[in-house]
Amino acid sequence: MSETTTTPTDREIVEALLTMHRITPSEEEVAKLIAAYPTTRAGVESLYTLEGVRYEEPAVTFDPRV
Amino acid sequence: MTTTSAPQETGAAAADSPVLTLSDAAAALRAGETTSVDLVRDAIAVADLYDKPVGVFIDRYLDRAMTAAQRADDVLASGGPVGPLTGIPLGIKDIISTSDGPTTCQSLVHDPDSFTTDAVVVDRLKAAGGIVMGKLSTCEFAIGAPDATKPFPIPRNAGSLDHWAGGSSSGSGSSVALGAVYGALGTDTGGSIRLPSAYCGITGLMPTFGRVPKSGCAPLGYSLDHIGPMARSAADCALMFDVMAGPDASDLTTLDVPVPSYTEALTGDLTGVRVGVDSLDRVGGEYADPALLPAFEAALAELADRGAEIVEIELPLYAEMTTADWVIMMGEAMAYHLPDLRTKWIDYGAPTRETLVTGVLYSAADYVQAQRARRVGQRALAEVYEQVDVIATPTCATGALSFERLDAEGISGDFFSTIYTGYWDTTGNPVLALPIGFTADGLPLSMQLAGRPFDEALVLRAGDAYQQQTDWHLRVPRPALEAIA
Repeated sequence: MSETTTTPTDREIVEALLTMHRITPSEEEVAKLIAAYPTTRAGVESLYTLEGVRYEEPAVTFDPRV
Repeated sequence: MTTTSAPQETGAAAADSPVLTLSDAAAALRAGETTSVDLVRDAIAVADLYDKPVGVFIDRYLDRAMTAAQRADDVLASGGPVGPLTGIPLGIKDIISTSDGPTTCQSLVHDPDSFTTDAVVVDRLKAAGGIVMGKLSTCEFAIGAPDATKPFPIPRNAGSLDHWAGGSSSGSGSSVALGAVYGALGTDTGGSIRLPSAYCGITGLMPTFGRVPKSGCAPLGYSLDHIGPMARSAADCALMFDVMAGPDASDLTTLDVPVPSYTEALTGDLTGVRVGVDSLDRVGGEYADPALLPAFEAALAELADRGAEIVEIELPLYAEMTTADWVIMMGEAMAYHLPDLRTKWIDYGAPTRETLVTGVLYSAADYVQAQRARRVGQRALAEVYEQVDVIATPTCATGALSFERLDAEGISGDFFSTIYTGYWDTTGNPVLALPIGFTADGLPLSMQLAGRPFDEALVLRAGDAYQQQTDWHLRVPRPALEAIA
């Protein structure tokens, strides 16, 4: 039996993220977030392909002493 | 003592009272030419006049300030040792805790009783003799934009009431511009010291990350937040920074790096200093005010006149570091605000909640990746600093944003192409924003001078050298009395 997979829409993704975070904006505010989603993701994706980043450590430090 | 009238030719109407810098005021106090009571009384009078129409203060501490001023005058009269800020009226952005009154973060969400003691940096200013006049307006939790539906001041630009003071250290910018205080504390996570400094025509220093303790300050981005001085001049900022800088055990991100005397570094001489220049016209050029590039080029010529060597450079990974600033800020802010966003959504101002909620669009991996990209950007920038000592860029492409445009478009989209500040929050370098002229409409224009990590002394020296030759920092416009009637 074959399964049909579909790519979720930006609306579906954003609404799922809001549900996961249990935040309930108005429909108008959700629409703004959906509109911002593609540009936002494109910006983040550029950070994964940055030259030299593959073996870099994050710029956060942890000191085990309390 | 330098005094000058506010400009008449800027397009923004000017009040009549003279401009006195913090450094001037401190010198005048020591020379016995004025008293702290007089300075505080004058500052109160200015605030009485302008606070309501401009939206400067969240709270004012008049009785406490006057008592402190009388005490300061007693100390000055005794001839004994005095602190560098003794008797000087100061203001504190209302996300930084003071014992003088509640800290609201300009929010209905924040519990004002959660901060009741002086933040380390406030304690340092008071120990140096500074007098806290009140808590200054801000964007809610240092993010977003003004919301007229909430019971807080709308921070207007001192030079034009139709324009925003900038954010998020809005009241810090306008209070200094008006003369309601001589210096103020601001915070900077994506530009919140430098943008209001630029919009209001004053000087502001974002220190190196880790140079000033953040304890006692409501967080926006834990790994990006900076507290810094805002005043009329680089020399004023140096005077405040002399007592603000240095580590404290209460903030583990502060670093034990030697703290020089910043005021002693102000030699006025830039001989041998290499100033790298990036106009960033490729970023915000289509939005740039026509007066910006000529003003920027004139400013560079002044630096050269003081001995600096001007070198063309290009800031590496500009788009990526600006993106990283936002990803990190939103991730860290979401961690802090998520419980309240769930239960108090409508108590947040609309611009605040609509900005904070973008944090759901980033994953944990995105956050870590932004912190990894940050390292790459640091290294690339360090290579540029092998060729130059200071980097100059405009602070933003335009004069202050109008409320008409702010209300219509908010602070997303095109707005972010007009501000050149977030890059430096990601890299953590110290940056001084200072005025370099005006638009045709009389709105201040500004440039940034950025140094190597922990080299605040050089950026202050460069800014002071520029301001020894120019008087843009003294030409701070104020609203005409008929405009506020």
